[in-house]
Amino acid sequence: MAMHPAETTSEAPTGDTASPLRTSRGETTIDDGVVTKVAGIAAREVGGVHALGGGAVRAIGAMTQRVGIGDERTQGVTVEVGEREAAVDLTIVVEYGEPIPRVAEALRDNVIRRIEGLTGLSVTEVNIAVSDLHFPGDDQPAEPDRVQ
Amino acid sequence: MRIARVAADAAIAVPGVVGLRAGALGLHVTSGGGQRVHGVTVTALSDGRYEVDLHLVCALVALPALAERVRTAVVGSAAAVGLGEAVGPVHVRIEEVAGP
Repeated sequence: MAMHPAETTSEAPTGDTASPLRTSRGETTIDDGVVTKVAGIAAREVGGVHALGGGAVRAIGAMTQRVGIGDERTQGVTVEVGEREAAVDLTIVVEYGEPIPRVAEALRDNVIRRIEGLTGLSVTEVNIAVSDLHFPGDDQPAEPDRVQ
Repeated sequence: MRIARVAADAAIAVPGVVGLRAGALGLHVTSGGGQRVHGVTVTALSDGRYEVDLHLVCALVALPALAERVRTAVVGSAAAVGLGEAVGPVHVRIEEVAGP
């Protein structure tokens, strides 16, 4: 794609490395909360990921959501955002039977693709902690066996 | 003050921009002439121009491209009312996304 230099000058990055966030017409900053939300949504899109967060985080999350102050999409996600780079830590619950390395790889790919696509930040690392496994029968309440 | 008003109106009209945000402490506000513009701060530069900071809540779209459209809109609107020379860099701060 050939472009005239004159057409690209307004978008030429002023920094030493090219970043879509720093232009000659002003810079763009993206809040941590935005990146956290994007990472949370991206993580949920991946097959084999049952939920985000560890046991305690999810218990507290369920409570804060009930009183309306929690956001399910940001739990289990921690980010560090710099001027043009971001690092992401995720805590996930994996569906039992899914190969964890494959889930982790797919998760990493999707989170990086979404963050880089939507925010223009380059993702330096995605650390994944698997906190639990989810069994398909876990959600049904146990039927009390009262009839002898 | 006029720049802040023009910039706020231009930014909010860009598709993908949901609103302007003054911040938790209400720091990002420009006041003057009995009016307050939330989510915009304007700073004088040494060369006589003004630097504009916009604090936005946006939809979940490609944000660098959105920021670029906001800049184009702000610069265009400022030029349309004769303030084109006064506007320096336009910094776009994405504070939050209104997600699905």
